[in-house]
Amino acid sequence: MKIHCIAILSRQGNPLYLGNFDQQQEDVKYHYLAHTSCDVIEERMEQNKTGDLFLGLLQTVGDMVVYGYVLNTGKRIIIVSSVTADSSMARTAEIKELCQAIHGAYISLVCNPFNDIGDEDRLTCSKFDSLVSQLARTYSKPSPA
Amino acid sequence: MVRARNPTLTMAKQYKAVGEEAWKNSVEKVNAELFIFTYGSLVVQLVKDYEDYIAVNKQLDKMGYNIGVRLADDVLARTGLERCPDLHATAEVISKVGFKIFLNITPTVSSWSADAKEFSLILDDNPLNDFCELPPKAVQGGLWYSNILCGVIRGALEMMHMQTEVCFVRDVLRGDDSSEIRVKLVRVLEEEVPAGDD
Repeated sequence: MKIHCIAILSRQGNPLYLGNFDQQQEDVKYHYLAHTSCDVIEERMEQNKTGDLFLGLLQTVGDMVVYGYVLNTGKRIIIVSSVTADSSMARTAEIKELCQAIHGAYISLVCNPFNDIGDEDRLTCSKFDSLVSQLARTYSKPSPA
Repeated sequence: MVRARNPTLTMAKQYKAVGEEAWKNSVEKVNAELFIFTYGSLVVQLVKDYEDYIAVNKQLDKMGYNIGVRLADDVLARTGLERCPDLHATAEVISKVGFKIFLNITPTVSSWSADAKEFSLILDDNPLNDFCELPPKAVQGGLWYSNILCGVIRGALEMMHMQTEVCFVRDVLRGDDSSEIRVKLVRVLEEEVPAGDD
């Protein structure tokens, strides 16, 4: 499983952060993917009665799968990864873990007293950047057989 | 003056036990995040108000001084410790009892000067630093984020009739590998009312 992109969107769907880990594609493509996933997220959130933050598989585009996770403040985390031969259960569980780890990194970012972020501001923080890159690398390793 | 090694170690162990016992039994605890966020917003507000990092350091030191003059009596009341025979003992009390009771950390005492009038406290883990990341302007401007601690030590020692200069020399938030506070004894004060804050 390879993580291509980790995106964070605001409640209104504005892009707050985009981590592009795929050397071949441009950022624009992932911005577009994240944006189109917004509608699916709204649907899922209406259906989601259990209050689970992980929204699961949102859509499949070509060989890429898009997963969603919503934070308590309404912000959305979108993960784009590539399809491999793994069983989808194992993959979903791993993506859920990744989302929770990103959520943790986001909380650390927000807790920094020097960060003056409003609801719609982009997230520019080098520590967060490196944490997310590291997570993408960790979860991109080929899964054990 | 050459000190025998063993008496220093025994004394350190004694103070460590006093500190741990006080932490376990006689201290009311507060939620760590509440404390860290309160301190963080305090520093950020000071930065916004003064816009000069050296001035912020000075204010933090003053605030710490006011806290420190009150802490000394508090610590002695909780622990019932007697007067320290020399600066070595004082250093151990600050590190193993004082820091332990109020922050639940025990900085290492080290780097004594030849005349035994200066020493360093190495903080491996400073809870005030959790979640904090200094913006580059603050690092260049010379902000010492936890400078309140220097004021606290200075105030507490003044209550013990010692005039000191206390300052940070290294800080993990500025990219150093550990945080270090340097304490320098200027002079022992005669029994008189300490001068008020300027």
